[in-house]
Amino acid sequence: MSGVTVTWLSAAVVSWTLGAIHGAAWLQSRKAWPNLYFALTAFSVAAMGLFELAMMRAQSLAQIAELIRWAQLPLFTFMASLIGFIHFFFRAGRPWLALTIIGLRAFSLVVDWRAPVNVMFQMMTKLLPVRVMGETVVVPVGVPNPWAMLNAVTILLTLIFTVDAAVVVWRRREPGAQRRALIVGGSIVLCLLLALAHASLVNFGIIHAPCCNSLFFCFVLIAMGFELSRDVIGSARIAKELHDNLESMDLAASAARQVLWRWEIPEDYVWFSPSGRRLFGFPEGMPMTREGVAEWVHAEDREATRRKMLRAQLGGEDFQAELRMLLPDRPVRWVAAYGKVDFDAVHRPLRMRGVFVDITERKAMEMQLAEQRMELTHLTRVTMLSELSGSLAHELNQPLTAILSNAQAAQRFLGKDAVDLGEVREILKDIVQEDQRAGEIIRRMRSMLKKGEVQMVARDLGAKINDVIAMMHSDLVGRNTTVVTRLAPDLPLVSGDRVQLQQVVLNLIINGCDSMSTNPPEERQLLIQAELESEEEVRVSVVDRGTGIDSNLMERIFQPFYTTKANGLGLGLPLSQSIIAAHGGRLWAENNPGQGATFHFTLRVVKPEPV
Amino acid sequence: MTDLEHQVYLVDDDPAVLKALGRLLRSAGYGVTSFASAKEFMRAPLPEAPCCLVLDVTMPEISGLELQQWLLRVDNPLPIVFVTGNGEIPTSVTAMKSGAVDFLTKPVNEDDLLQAVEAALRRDQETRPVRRKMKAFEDRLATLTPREREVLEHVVSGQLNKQIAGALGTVEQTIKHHRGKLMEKTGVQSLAELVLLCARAGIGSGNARRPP
Repeated sequence: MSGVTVTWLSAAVVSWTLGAIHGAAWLQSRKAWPNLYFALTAFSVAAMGLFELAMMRAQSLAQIAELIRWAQLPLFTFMASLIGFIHFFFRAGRPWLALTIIGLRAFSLVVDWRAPVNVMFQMMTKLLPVRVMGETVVVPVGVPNPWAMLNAVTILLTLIFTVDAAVVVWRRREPGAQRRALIVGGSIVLCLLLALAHASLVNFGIIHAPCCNSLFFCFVLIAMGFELSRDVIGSARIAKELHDNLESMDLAASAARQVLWRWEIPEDYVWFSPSGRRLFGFPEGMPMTREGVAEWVHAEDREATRRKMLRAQLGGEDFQAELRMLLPDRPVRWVAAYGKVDFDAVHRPLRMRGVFVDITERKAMEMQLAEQRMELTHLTRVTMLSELSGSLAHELNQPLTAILSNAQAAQRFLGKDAVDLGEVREILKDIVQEDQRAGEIIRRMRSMLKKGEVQMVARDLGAKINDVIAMMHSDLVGRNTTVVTRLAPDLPLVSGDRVQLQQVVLNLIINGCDSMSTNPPEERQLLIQAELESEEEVRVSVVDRGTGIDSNLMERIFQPFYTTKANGLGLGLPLSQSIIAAHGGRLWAENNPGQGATFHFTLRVVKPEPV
Repeated sequence: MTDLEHQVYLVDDDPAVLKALGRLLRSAGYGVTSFASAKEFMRAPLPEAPCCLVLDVTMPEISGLELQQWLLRVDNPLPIVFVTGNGEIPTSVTAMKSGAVDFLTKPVNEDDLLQAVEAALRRDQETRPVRRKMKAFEDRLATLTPREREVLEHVVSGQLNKQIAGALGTVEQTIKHHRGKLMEKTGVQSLAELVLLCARAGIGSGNARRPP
């Protein structure tokens, strides 16, 4: 094959190949406009090459005239797509200039078609044989068409457009911007200059050489392709990094005992990060549906979890739940689940993605903490009761005394000649009653001393307060303190644990009494009020006439181990406060306007279940 | 010595205990009057018949010990048997020092209670004639004129008529008259008896209480 054919064909093939690669890249990602324009430019160059080759081998004037006319078409697409490429690749260039160039070039096409010969020649005189690369090819000779200047002008304008855009890019402070401006801009400018010079020389008959634009532009393509390929290479690197990142994320997630998950909602397909799958013991390689995953959730948590997911899908809030997971051959696992929903344009839930965090250890710790807190609460209660032990014994002594004396009296009555059976019956009735009273005292004490499960049930608060006052009766008598209760009638039931509520009331009463211990006896009066604070809350206030609370100590009295009592633990108030907080209420103190202080606490009203 | 005339006064704030102790004492043959508080007892008319008081220590408002002190203040030597739920030693010591007959711990055994009540009534009975005599004497003292009273005080301090006349700025004959009159009014047989009774009533000694 001849050198000319090889050269031009190679240029065409290279251009075509580059075009095909970038065309394919564009098909992969439709927003990659530089790739599309690059492909169009490359295809144009390939077409130009083929036309040039054909022209060199033309057999007649008519044939070459026709070829020149048709060659204007790939030239047009070349110019247009080159401008498009510069515009999208550089993200620069003046649009009006671009439109002007394309417009002029389109006009040149029209001229080309309307001209008797073509846009380049007014008249063609002969085919001149010239030697190129050691072989003879033909070049046309004739009268140049003045409209050919139009083509020169568009090339000149394209030069200006390119330089302008390249300068803009050069000035950008982006990494690689200057290199890009130099290589792409520079090569385009150089080739356009060469093409312009070559065309001018040929047109004005100064030299006779075949048209070889495609060769120049092939070099431009290689330069442009190099730059573009940097991005392609870059994206491969990014893809690898992404993969690496995914792997590290997976690793990090599993190290943090987490599983990443994604639920494609319309397809109902659930994905889990692979190592998380292993960590949690999810069966591998099994396509999962939401229902399938729900199977692993502890039956008691399933419904609540489902509701929370639904709420997230309705767009209310992010999904957040703590639940237990039960997997085959695995112990129960506590899991904190977080998730976020992605919506489409019309706000339909598309997918939900999130993470499961294994919180089994934290839960175990929480439970241990709760256990310890219960121990502490119990200990404080026992301490408090031991302070009362003297009076509790006295309290128990009363029915025992009554029982003993009643029984001995009965024995004496029975020993008489005339037995008054009515009297004896009365005595026995009283003995039974007093026995029950003693039993009640013991039961009350035992329940306070017991270390039991917290049972949050609806309670009659007034009854609980009266219970505590009854238990403290002897102590109050001994302290010469009277307790007045003012309980609003028809108080609703409150939710709480009986023993813990009594502990709080007991603590507040003892504190109130202690604060009044130096008062004259007639000033030792404690008022306990219970009233509706709001629709949702009942407020209990324990009002004393004691010394009040130093304003500096208002906060400190609720801190653990702070005490003003000689043998106090300093746990009564902080524990009472945390008990009330655990009941969803508040406990606080304030000084009375006159004398003493008041401790208030609130408790949640139990809402009657809707029928 | 079980006699229905013997009255036991019972004070306890616990109604059940009050009832039971009352029953026990009645079953032993005593007349029982019950009071639910010290105040109630203090408002009741003070008894004349042989009697004693069974008193709870721990009570609201006025405690048993306070009631004991009040009785001492109003000069009522009613013998007291204390019963208490918590037998604290300091309390019992105070009670006994102030003249309590006994200090019993609840639940009270009937033998202990009845023995204590018996002892209390005996003490009351022993002191009652003396007290009755004293009461009569004091009542008579009240009938003396101021002048006779003045003379009496000098007499019991051991002064002779002449000395008294000198001290009061009068003649011996007048003093003799007053003296005869007051001996007659107080109903005593001898000067020795007068001095004894006056000493008991606290007349003539600097630190004694004066009759009202």
